[in-house]
Amino acid sequence: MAIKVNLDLVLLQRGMTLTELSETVGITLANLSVLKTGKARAVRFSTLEALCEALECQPGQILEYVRDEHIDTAG
Amino acid sequence: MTARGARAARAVNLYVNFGWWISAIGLVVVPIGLVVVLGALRQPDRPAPDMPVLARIQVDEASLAPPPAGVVLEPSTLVHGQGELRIRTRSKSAWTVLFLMIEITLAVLLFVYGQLRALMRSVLERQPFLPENSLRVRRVGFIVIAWSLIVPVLQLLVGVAMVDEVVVRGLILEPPWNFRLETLFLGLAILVLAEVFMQASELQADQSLTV
Repeated sequence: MAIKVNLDLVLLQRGMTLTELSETVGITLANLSVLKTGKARAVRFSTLEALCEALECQPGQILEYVRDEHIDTAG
Repeated sequence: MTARGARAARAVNLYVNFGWWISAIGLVVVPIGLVVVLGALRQPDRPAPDMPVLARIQVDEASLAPPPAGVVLEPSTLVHGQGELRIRTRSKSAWTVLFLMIEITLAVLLFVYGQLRALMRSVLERQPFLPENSLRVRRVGFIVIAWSLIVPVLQLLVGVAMVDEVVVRGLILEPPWNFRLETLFLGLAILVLAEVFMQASELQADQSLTV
């Protein structure tokens, strides 16, 4: 997929864990894991809004468009 | 799933499980039956067992014996028909083909019931739209199509072997070609259903991977 999810990076910058984020935004840890590992097929605006609010960031900091050949597959 | 749907699913599941077990038991019993029949054929003092054979029957009125003088017969209304004949035969090859046909039928049924069992299990777990289920339905479709083509050939083989053994004056027996177009189209309809399952499983995956 050409959309890279930088959730782990933003979490690192904020010093927050995925579990804490899950408790703050009310999204299950399983769903956040799906998002973080790039397995998600779609993101609801409501989810994005809750994440941006909790992490005090813009959607562009969480999601990034990268050409397929440059995607880091480590996530 | 509604309560009525769940009840129907449980009933179908029960039937499918029953069918699977009967097919599995039959698959083991049929070869034993063949051994018993072949053993009986070796004993000349025993009467040969009856073999069911499908045949198309035509009346050859010209070769029938003329009625006795003074007897007036109504013209025959039987022009041709099809029915199951029971032929007493000692032909080992015919018996083997018949049992082979039953064994293949049971193997196919076991496979189809096995696929349906797995499908019903996921339906009862309320997760019917899985990619595996689409594959299962597709396999059943291909089996039904193959079945519609293979069975008439096997029936024809048994019929050819047996009809030659029977000579009845005034009757012409022909092995029937029992190809059923409905079965072929049923198989094609099941393949379409498999495609619907595939699309539904894609939608399901989209839904479950939406955060």
